[in-house]
Amino acid sequence: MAAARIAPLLLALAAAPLAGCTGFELTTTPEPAAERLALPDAHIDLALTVASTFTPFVDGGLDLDDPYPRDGRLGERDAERWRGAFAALDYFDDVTLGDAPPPHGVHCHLEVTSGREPSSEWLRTASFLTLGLLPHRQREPMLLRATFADADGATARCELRATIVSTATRLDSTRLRRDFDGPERELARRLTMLLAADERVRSRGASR
Amino acid sequence: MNAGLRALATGALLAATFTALAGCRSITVVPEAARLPTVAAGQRRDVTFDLRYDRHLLALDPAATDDVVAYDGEDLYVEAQRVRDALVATGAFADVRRARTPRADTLHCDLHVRYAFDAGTQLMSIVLTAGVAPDRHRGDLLLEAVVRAPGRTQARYAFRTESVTWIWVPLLPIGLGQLALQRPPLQQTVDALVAQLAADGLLAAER
Repeated sequence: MAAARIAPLLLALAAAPLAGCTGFELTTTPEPAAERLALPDAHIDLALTVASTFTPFVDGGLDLDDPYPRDGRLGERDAERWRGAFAALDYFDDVTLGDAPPPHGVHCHLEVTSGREPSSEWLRTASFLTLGLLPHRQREPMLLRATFADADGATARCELRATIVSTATRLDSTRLRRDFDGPERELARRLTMLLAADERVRSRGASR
Repeated sequence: MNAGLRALATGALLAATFTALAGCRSITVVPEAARLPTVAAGQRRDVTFDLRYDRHLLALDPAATDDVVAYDGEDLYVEAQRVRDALVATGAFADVRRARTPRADTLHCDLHVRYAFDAGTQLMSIVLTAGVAPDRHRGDLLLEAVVRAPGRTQARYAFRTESVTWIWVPLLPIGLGQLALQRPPLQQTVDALVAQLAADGLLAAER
């Protein structure tokens, strides 16, 4: 009888490392205003280009003097991750990767600079030996610069500084690259809120 | 019959002993370089380097463009840290830094590492035969370097390193000992490059 009660708990504990790392906390500068947390309907298209760069984590921040551009395989993954994050907002009718603004929408050039706090060897070892049951937190500073432009050439720029604190719960998630995109979705929402405050975007959406 | 079996057993034992003495990981660097020089602390100069790192998914073929992954972002950072550690471990330099743009007054190496790794049966033969059958892992590394030293014309170097590891239960103690004591393939390749730089007079600090 006792075994039957304990079994679900043991199963849950065993499944925890397999479920991976999904928890995170996010702080951004500027913080979005509380009254604009919900996005208004826009019904415009978005074309996106992403220039992403890794920089080492030094003294709690990013070492901007030692950049490693994500201009290959990781760059392609990052662009697709951000495209998916903007598409998941349901704010834009269509989100594509491309250089030119769509006829009924805006183009966003997004510069991403990020790094992740490396795990110490003993934490990686402890995480491995406990099958990931010893969680630990990793900081990930991120600097985002977005330039939105429409087909008429009008531009709007915004910048966000973010710190993502994620809980690593398995050996894989102690690496320098996160395997889930929850923070990107929230950051895309906050960038879009800054864009949505622009009257030109509101009027473009209303005219369709 | 008994004598035949005894001869067979002796032969097998001798073969196993020979294999064990030969080591379960052999590393060959081509061309063979001179011994790594000892540079006095006051004589060491700074070096900067930049790195390209390609992982060949099949065999290492410098001309190949398919099945090659060019590392970028954090993947490249991890490899750059390994190369930096290897340069530091040669003990030939006062300071080692990555720099994408060389400075005119500093020794600079543009490094291109190509690497291929064949993991044999991915240890499946060990698992399926309870360690009775050996598994052969093979790594192939090509290091190409363009070296610019102040006041010298740029020089090009290439070293290719092949490492073969036999993973087999009877050889496990030797393998673990080698893992702790033997300089790994990347380190031996970087050692060869630095030894050649020293032989060519590129390590002498200018006073």
